[in-house]
Amino acid sequence: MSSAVSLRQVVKHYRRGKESVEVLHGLNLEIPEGEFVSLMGPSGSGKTTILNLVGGLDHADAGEIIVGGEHLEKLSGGQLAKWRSHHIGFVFQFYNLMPMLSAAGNVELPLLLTNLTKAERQRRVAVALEIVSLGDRAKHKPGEMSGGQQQRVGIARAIVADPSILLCDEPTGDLDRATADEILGLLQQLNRQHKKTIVMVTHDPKAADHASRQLEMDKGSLVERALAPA
Amino acid sequence: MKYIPLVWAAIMRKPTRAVLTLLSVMVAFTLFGLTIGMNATFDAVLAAAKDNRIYTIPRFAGGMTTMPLAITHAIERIPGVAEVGYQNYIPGYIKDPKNRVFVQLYGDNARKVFTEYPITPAQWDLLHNERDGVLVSQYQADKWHLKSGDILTVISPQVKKADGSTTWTFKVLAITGDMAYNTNGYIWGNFDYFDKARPLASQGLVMNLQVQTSDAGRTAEIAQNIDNSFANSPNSTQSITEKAAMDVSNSGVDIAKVDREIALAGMFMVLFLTANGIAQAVRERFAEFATLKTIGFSDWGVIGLVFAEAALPCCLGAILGVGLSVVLSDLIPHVMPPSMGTPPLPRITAMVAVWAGLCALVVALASSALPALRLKQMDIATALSGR
Amino acid sequence: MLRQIWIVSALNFRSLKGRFWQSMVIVVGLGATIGVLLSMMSMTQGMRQAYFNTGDPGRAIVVSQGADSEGQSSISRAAAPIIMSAPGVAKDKDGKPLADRQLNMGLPVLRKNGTKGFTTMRGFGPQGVALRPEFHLVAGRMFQTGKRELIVGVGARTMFQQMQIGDKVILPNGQWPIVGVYTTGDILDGQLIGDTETMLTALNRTAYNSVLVRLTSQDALDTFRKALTTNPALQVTVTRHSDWYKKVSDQATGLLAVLAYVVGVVMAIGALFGCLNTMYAAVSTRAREIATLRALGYGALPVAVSVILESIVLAVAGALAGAAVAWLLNDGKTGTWGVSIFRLTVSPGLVGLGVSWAVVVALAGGLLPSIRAARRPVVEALRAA
Repeated sequence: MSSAVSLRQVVKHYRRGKESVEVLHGLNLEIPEGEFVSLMGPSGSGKTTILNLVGGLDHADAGEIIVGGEHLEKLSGGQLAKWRSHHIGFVFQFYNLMPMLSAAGNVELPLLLTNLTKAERQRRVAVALEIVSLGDRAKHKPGEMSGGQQQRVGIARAIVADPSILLCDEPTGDLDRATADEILGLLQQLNRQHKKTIVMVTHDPKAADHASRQLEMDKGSLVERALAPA
Repeated sequence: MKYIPLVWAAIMRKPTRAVLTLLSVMVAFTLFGLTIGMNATFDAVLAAAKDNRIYTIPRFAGGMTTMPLAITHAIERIPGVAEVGYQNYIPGYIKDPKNRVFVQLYGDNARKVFTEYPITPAQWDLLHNERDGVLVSQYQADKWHLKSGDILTVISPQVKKADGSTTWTFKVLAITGDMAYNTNGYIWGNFDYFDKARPLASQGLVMNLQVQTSDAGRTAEIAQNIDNSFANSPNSTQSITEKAAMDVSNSGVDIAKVDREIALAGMFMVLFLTANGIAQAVRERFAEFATLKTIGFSDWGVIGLVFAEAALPCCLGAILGVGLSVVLSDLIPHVMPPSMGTPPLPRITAMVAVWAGLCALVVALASSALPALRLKQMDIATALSGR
Repeated sequence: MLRQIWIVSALNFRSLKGRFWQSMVIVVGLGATIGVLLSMMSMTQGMRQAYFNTGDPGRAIVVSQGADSEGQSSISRAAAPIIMSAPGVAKDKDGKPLADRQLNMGLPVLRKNGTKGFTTMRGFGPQGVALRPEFHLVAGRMFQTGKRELIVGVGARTMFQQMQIGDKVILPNGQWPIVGVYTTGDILDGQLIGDTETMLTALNRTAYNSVLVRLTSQDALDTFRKALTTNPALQVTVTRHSDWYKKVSDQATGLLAVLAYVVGVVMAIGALFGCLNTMYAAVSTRAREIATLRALGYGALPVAVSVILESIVLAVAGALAGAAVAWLLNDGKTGTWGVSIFRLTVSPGLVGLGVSWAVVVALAGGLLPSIRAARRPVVEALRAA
């Protein structure tokens, strides 16, 4: 199985005031296609940084980032944007929906960047909403939905352009237990049935358990998570 | 375009704010239309002014100062002069002193001088043959409810007949067309009918001359020559070319400049309002813009959205505002007091509309410039984590 | 209650810094509006002031019937003495009537900027100066009776070319040198004056334009008028000098004032929408602060008042700024309109006008938002982010 995501010797600094803090020191990571990986670790350990690097939102200071065969470190800002629209779907902790658009409107956003006709766009939106079981709420605004429903819309938006990789940053961080489980189940479904490669950053061990492989950030390197006895 | 629903939704996040901004922009552009439209009229008047005509009046005019008719012969001899029209006038009223009229009495060669007026040869003939007749333009005819065949009676305390009477009667011969920029219309009669009825001492006198030159390029020079010829005589003159007379920048106050300054003040107001609105919107929705970038919108894509958000109310406000100014300028004649007649009106020409559109775009650009810069420099990660 | 209003308003103004640019929208809007209004009105005000100064209620002017202006009027040589010796005319210490035969005619001039313009040339008779205590020579000397000489007003000297002492004005049958400069503080500052009789001869004229008299008292006007209008040999109109110039002033400034107000109102409406916008935004930004105050027990009225107060303070600040700009750009400059020259004036009265407009706009623009601020349910506001 080829790798969907490869990070090789990736180094990343952040500037905090006058100091420069090195967050990733020569990180290596291989994620095969179709894997559901969770990343855990303390705050500031660089988990979200890895997500941003994989999604092309940020540039590494050194090293290679190969996603879907593409060397991201070689792409310009404009090329990254274009690449991102086709290959990546983001899911956020606080959903980041546009409050003034309906659910359908929000889900349609990535498709606006394509050349699809309006009819085709609407069809795909309907499909995405069906997958997340929100077909009947297409016209509702985020303000009219619960947290779980909003996150479903976020997921629908993330998959509507049929990207191969989903990057999720604490997707259940703002949800109660029951709803969180529903969302995680949805993510599993997307992974198993729709073959999406998923990288999920989370604090929650129970959420991490839903992944097929669990990793932990430990002093800048990724290690397999020590699993509690089943 | 497909992005319009997104831009629209962004603008309508705060409907009250969007409507108020639009109204403010609209008002500024109404003012723009009226002032710049006024300038368009001034430009049109100037363009329509004949470049081969000179107006000559007595140099030391004191209201009713005259020149002897013989002066026309002297002027005819000046090289470059083709025709010398002459005029006396009756400032009077119909029935009530507040119904002011102005009857101008021209010599027979008026038809050679005023060739651009919409008076047919047949109508000129009528005037020539019926010496006590007048040609009344449509505007004046409507104002005083006159039609062909009516008798027009004008009372003028300042212009007496030989028998001491101040009442002048004319027969309305025809209703003629109006001139575009002669907004108050005209009433023209025969000079010698008027002259013969005057007291002997007041006969043979004219109020002003309309000199037509044969060489349009030398008109200003010929005007000066006329004045120079009579400089030391008792009938010294002052001559001005029609082009110079119609140029508003020549009068004491350059109204066209004032108009531009007013329009500019209005645009400044709009710029401030819009710039503030966009800056605030971008500030409030920074995370949303960051999200759009994660979805794959490029830097320029996001900047384009912000520009569209600024441009939509600006352009819509410009269209509505200029449209309103068209309506208002049509209303002006109806609200002016009748004694004032009709002033030149603003005309919303294509040029005016183009300027309005340009201003709208410039305002939108200037308003979205700084916020766009902020968006371009945005660090997506920080913007998203700031949530 | 007043104390509450004070506290809430003070808090409001402290938080104003955070809403700086938003608030500037009101300041700029009113600034532009009042700046334009006052600039346009400075001309009207200058003209009104000049005309007002010219007309003295203790003087009366006599013109021929039907004449709308001095230039159109014609008083014969025979009629003048009758008018000047009529009852009601004051006499000087020598027993001579304080009355004068005047000439008034247009004079073409070249403005300093090269364009052609006009001003008025007046003829004074022997009592011309005595009739006018406001007249002062500031340079050179007075013209001599019988001589072809002119004096020029300070305004004309500023605006026109070749108006210095020594320059010659071309009139029919000769050139008249300028021998002095005068000021009257009114519309005559933009004119030139010479000797009536000399002008009459030189210009081949046979009649005067008007007669100006000093009345024995302001009430003597009726006596004077009656004497003249009941005289069948005369066909004149008698007008109090101040009334005459009021009419001239209204005619000259009427249209201008209307235009200034129209433009001003339109801009004020634009500013009003901007003001509403800003105040709604301000109220929205302060939602939490207001809700907290109300939860603590402050009433709705102080909240509403604080909003309106903010609106008024910002609007007035803008108006004053606009007035300052109008003053800087216009006040004291010499302007012309038609044949008149005057000083553009941004008077305290005009500034007051601007401020009162600002208050009206602020009230209209602050009222609805203030009601919203006062009415919003506290709980809802506390919950909103």
